[in-house]
Amino acid sequence: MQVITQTKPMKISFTDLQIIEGLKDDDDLKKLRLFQPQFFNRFKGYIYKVAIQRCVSFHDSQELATDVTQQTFINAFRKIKDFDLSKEPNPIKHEVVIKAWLGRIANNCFNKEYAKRKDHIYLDDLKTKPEESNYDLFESLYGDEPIEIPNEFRSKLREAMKTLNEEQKHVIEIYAGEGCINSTQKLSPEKMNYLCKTFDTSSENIRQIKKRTLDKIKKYCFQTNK
Amino acid sequence: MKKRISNNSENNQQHKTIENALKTGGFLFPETAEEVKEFERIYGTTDVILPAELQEPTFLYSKSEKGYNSKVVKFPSENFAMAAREGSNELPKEIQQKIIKDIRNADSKRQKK
Repeated sequence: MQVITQTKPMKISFTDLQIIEGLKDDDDLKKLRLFQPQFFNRFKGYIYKVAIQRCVSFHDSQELATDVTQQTFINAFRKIKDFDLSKEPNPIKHEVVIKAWLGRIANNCFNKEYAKRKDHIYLDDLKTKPEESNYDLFESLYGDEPIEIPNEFRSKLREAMKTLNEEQKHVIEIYAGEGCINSTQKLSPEKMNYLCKTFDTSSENIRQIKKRTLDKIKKYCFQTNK
Repeated sequence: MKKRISNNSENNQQHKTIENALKTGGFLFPETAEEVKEFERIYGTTDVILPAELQEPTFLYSKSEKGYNSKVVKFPSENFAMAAREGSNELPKEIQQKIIKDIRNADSKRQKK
């Protein structure tokens, strides 16, 4: 009598770089079948964790955070060929670089979902930036060391953000995301266009909203320090 | 004049603080490696409990009508479901060995370059 024995599947652990490179070979279905779930399982916890905080002020925060997380991975798999992780020679840093890259995609996904709720379509899908000759996506994933911010200030800011209406909150977050909180920095035309369309208003009005919101936050966060 | 400069500098500092706190405090997804590190320093690296929809990446198929490019995930949902049932990182030995071989080949090609 022939006995059929089942081989126990072997567990293998791939490095972040191996997974990213494996995902680029989209002609090899076996690789995709292995690497897509690996990548998803490795980073879904982080993306959802930020997403749930990002969406906390929405009545359906969990649903929105889930949508943003799912859409982030769908877009990440689409754009994986443009992401050259091998540019970072230190494997220890790969995880945070991937998270930063996913974060960029996730912010776009959030804006898309937000615009959808306002019955608008947000088209900026990181398409414009990489086409600019002097724009290096990978380079842009590294920034300055963040300044030290006391926990007390963070709590105050959280409270201040709760006092804002949805429009003010979204406008100031978009300005912050673009590094344009300071009045000398202008919002990119794509982002300004997005805000104008989403809130059916003029760019002048958006600038006014930003200014008033910033004043409100400053008053809330800094007035006791004076 | 000096007062105006110092006011400007104070303003700039305040703006920078607000911007950084928004970027690393969960109001936005951190977009640089440094922001990610800062976020994880504040909120830790332990995962939150995930909803059922995120346990397995089956949404890669069901969301196709939302504009998903089918070229990204080429294997049919049935096969994918099979892979998901078997565990995300568990495949028959011969397939795993082929994948490892492919990766090693790709790695050695890269090193030669």
